Amino acid sequence: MPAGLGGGGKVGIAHETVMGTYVAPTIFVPILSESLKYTEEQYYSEQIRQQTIVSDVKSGYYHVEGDIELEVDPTNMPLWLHASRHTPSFAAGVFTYVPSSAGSASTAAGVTNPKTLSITVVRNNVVFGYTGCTVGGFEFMVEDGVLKCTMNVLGLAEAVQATPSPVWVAADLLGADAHRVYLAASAAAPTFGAVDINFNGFTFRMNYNAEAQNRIHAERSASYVSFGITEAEVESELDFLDRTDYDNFVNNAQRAIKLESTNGGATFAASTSGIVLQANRVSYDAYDIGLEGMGDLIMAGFTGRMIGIAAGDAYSIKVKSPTTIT
Amino acid sequence: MALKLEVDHPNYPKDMEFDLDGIAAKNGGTVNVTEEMEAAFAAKNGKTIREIYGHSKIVKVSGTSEVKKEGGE
Repeated sequence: MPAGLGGGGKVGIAHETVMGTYVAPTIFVPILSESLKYTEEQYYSEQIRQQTIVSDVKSGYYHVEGDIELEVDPTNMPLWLHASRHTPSFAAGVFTYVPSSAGSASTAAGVTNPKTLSITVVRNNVVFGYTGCTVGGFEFMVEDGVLKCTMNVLGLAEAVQATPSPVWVAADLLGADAHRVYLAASAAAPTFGAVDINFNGFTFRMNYNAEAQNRIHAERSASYVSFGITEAEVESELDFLDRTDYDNFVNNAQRAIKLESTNGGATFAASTSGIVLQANRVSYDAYDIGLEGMGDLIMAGFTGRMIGIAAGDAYSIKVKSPTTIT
Repeated sequence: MALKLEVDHPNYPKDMEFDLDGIAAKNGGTVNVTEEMEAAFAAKNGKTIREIYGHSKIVKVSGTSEVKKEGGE
């Protein structure tokens, strides 16, 4: 077989009925890059037997892990968000995801249940089937005007599978005319006013501190993926115009912040597809302002940690999508 | 009868447009595959339509291939 290029590859996904049992892909997801890999800790025997080099090796426990980077597309994003540490719901064409406190990944039928994924990756016409996959963290970022997402994926096992039958849908990307950022006082349901036009970049990340757990079960693959503390942050840079948010940082006054990205820039309610990333209670971890140089704009760079809020959620993600999840 | 593709994707709305490795199709619709389409598909993918979609849960393939095998058929 001749050498292949990344562009000839493909990634397909399917929600699993039974966690870890392979399901051939029905959704094919355009990606920018992926690094899913078989990760094993081999056992090297250090028997003392008149030599100072290890004398044997046994295969150890393994799991699957890596990143998948893609352009956010409302058509496919709910498939990934369902496979993470969220409580999903669906109403009037909108998927809503709020953080859950689940201790481990799970899968069950129904749109209100989280699911695990079978991820099929074809590299140079060689098929890799990863099962029991969960997204252990998301990083949404506006980059070059386009909303992108890098997902940290963990899975239980890998095996060769049949070549999948691709079914591609047209891309529905969220470009420079799609995004609006809003700031407001922290509340379970914040009252956002006018669009804030001073933001230069926007990053919204969640890390569920997921880990593959290997248990004794006469298999080398992982048994499940556990979750730890949810660490959620918003990071950005904006033109420094007044002390308002600097004082909020100093006084530990919490804020709400929202990114709306919609197809064609319509309001989310009026849009046919889009996503809303909303943090309801953000405490600034850092708010840095400096005179960087004679010709440099004076910008404020901040990182804010999302924290829980009474009678509400620390954050929510809403996706308006034509996709059906059952 | 030439090859016919019927697409039924449960996750997407009816009439959503798909690209089946170079063949345009709509969800809930059928595509009658011409000899030229079959040949172009095989040239692009190195496999026949049946080899790629014969086991698909989404795309049903029926009919017979119009492409003549090498040496005549």
